Amino acid sequence: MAHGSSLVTRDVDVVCRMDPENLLRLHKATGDLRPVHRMTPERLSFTRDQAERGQLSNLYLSTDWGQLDCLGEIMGLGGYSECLTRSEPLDLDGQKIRVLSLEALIVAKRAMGRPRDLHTVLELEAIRERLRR
Amino acid sequence: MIGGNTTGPELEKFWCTDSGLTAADRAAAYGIDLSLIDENLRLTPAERMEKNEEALALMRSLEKHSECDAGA
Repeated sequence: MAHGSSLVTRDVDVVCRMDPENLLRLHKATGDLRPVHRMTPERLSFTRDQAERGQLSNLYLSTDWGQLDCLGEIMGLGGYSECLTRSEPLDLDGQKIRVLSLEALIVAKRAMGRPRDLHTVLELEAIRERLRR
Repeated sequence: MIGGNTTGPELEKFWCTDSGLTAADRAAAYGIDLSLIDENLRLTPAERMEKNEEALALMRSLEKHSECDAGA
């Protein structure tokens, strides 16, 4: 979406360090949104204890504001540090965030190679071509 | 997550970038409406997000009605 894809997205994906310190920050940031692990049948709560243990590779949450996926690494790119070097700033009405560059996103989607990624890759490569004109 | 190309043979060709086709050609051949992309590229990222929210709201509304019909 950030780069112009027409695909509707239901969730937000972030890459972040999954150490206890950062997981505690995540827990604090999402605390009021009743975060639950949406991949567990019982939809278990995301607790402070889990964050402190720091044994999560990824975090797939459902919150009052929607789905939030926190990934320790992105296939084809690497962990947070590597992704940071391949990201660019984005201003969303005054809110400054960082998103993967178009090139990095294409690499990641190609690396995943799932059938649903094909549509995304084709769109992103068409966007890249358009932007180069 | 599964790495590498896992699409069937009939879709293999769309992954290839050395077919002599432009990216736009490959996207169009796959069935992607490039006018939607062109429209999005005219918007700011914030406008695209707003548009996504509107589309999501519509989808959720349709899903809800679909559930009601299924229960009827």
